[in-house]
Amino acid sequence: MRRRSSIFAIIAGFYCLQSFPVYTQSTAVLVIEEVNRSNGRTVPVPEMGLAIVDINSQLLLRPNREAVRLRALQTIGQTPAAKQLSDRIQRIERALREQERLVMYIRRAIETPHQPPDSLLLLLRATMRDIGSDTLLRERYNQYSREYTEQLRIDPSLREREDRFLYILGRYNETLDSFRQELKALEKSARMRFSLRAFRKDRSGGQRLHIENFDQFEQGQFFEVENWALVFSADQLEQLQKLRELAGSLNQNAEWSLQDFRERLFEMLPALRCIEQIPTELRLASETIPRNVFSLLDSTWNQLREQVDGLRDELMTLSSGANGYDVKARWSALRAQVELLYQKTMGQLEALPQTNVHVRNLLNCAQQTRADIERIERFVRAFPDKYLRRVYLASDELVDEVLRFELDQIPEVGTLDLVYTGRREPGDELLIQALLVPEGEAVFGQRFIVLYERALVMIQVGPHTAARVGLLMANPYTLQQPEAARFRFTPSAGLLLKFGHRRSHFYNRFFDPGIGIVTASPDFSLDGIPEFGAGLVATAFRDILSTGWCWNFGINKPFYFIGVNLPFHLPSMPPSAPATPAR
Amino acid sequence: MYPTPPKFLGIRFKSPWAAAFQAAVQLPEEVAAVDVPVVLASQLARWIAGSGILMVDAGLSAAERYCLRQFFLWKVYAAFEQRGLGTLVAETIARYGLDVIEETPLSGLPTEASGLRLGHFPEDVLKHIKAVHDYYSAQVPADLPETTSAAPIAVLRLPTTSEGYLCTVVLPAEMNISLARTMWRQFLQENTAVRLIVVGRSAAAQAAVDIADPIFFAPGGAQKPGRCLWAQTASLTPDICRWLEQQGYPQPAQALCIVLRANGTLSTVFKQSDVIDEFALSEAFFNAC
Repeated sequence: MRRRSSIFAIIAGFYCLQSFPVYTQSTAVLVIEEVNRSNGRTVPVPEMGLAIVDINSQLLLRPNREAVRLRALQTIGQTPAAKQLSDRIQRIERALREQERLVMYIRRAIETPHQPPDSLLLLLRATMRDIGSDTLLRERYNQYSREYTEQLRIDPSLREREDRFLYILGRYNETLDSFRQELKALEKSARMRFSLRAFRKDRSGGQRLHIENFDQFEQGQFFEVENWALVFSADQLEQLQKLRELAGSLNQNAEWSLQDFRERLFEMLPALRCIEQIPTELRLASETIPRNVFSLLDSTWNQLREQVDGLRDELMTLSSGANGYDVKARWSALRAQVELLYQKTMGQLEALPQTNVHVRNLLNCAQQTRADIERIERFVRAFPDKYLRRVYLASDELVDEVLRFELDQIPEVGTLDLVYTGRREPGDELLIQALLVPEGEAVFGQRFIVLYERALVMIQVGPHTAARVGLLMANPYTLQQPEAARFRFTPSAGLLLKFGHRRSHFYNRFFDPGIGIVTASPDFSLDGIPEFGAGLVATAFRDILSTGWCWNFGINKPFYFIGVNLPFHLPSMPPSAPATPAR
Repeated sequence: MYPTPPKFLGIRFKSPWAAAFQAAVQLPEEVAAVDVPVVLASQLARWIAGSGILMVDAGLSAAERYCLRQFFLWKVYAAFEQRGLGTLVAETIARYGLDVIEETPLSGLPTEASGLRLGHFPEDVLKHIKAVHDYYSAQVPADLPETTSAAPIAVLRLPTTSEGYLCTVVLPAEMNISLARTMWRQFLQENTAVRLIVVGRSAAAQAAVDIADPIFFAPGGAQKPGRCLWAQTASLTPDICRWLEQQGYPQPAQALCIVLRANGTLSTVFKQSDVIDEFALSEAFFNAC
């Protein structure tokens, strides 16, 4: 009795261990979830031990990007490219801060036209100090300044059109662009291809299985989808995050400055409304003006009005990133045109009798328009719109580039649909691996590094049927027979209803019970002609042992039995889904 | 000259442009050949100032403005020619003459002005300038005051720039010391912009001027242009050293580049051994602003 209870205790302990695996709190590289095909419920697959999954389920494989990166860092350490990153980040950050300060100054200057000159000087000095403390930046400053000088020697009027300091900062902008290229190269070299693979293992060997989003299976061959993880430290990622914020803020400030500039221009445009009055004044003064002068004035000032309207329309649709639009050139062309028209028509206007109020109005209007356009053109000329556009575009691209660092190219989920994995048997194992495949040369002499490996066993968890044939030892307990007639062997066939267990290997592999109906052909009458019997059966230990109760329809007597099933299976008829679909 | 003779108003000697032009034609009594570049630049600076004022005088026609500018340009040339220095200034004067043609609207140009660029340079241009001078003299009232009288050196104005530079006045090594001093003092007194003085004629000085000239001409950062003086004149060096000492600089003999603030106070001094590159000069400029 004591021995029996200790066996039960051992069995129960083993069962409990299987039923309640210890869940670890560590961040796993891969989280596996099982989706029940019939009810759509998703349950997580335990992180430890040989987990059990339903043979007909769908597995969702969710890589944890952060854990992948950390494991990659722990496994292979930082790549040389990743080590260079900090240095690059610092340089970009410094350059961005320079740009940010300047853009802020420009904004303040637009918003408050009477900006104290000292603030610009302080900015200039601070910027120069920063540049001076970095040998590389200083060298570049010299180079850009020389470039500007070369252009200046060819055309000294460059001074009026382009500010040396802004030119240099603009060239640093291009440096930002080159930094972007460098970052791109760094990002590429710090990539580790990340691969997720699944295999089905059975006694005859193994077979690779298709995981949606991680590979493609075409014409019997697997093709990897390019996924990668970036091997950077958490500090570097934090630095990158800051860099992105800085670039984003610079981008926004540059955009706001350009918008302010546009608004200021719009505010200035109504000053030119005098042009609108010219046709009216001209018509009213037409009696005083000779015909040839009238047509000259009419055509030239109409032309000007059209140009101003055109500029207004262009400004309406101008976007911050429109790098090709040269607002300065457009306004200086307008100013030149006004000057030409003014020279062409002023003499004619001055020669007209000034006693006519409309002629005087025309004259005043022409002078006023000329002065206003000059004023607007001065404002436009002084405004570093090109520089701001470059900042806007460069910072925008930089944000994109930094974002690429933050996002590993790893799909959120891979799907392994077991129904579509071909012929499989309950008890077959699944092996799921997460691998890092270094670009180019092998690391530690390996072509790939296994970050994670997990074996799962497939069983039929849902209700399913199994047909069994075997021998019964039947006892017709109500029949008066000699002792020798008891427990005589009888062939039988049964249809069993079975259930798998999600957590217990003991249950699935050893106990594996079933209940069902059984038919048997006993010969209780001992006449050599078997009768028909049918009844209920319960099986255990993978259906090898069975017991049950039947009714012998030939002699109308009941019997009970214990039986042994033969160790081969007949095709089963599951009520839910086929256990061995031929797909 | 003109198909229809324009109506000239004549020279109004009280007008500011006439005063500037008059000053432009007054040369010092003695001008050595070596001093010509500085003196010519000085005279032309005044002539340019006169031209600038003349351009905004709305009362004059384009033709008269043209004639007036060429008229006084010829007088500048004549002043040098009188001292036997005509050949030294001919090309510069002719170039300025061509600039006047370019800056004048077609309606204000005489017929002879066309095609001068293609003729013999500078002879044809000078001939034309003289022709304009003679034509205008014939048209305006004859009681022109004497415009070529000699002036003391002190009257000479510091030129805007020397030939080949954008904002640098070069005081040549062999320059008349009193003229060099005049220029040096004027440079010190010009308290309107950031200034740079480069001392000596060493290769380092040459390199510093070459870098500084465009930087001071167009410093950037929305700052006003500065000015440079390259004092090659050896006899001026003691004056510069004395001035540096007065400013409290301990090693004046070592000074190569001196940066002054717009108010005339000392800002930065680069020694012979210092690295003087684009960045250093730009930084010095901004610090002096």
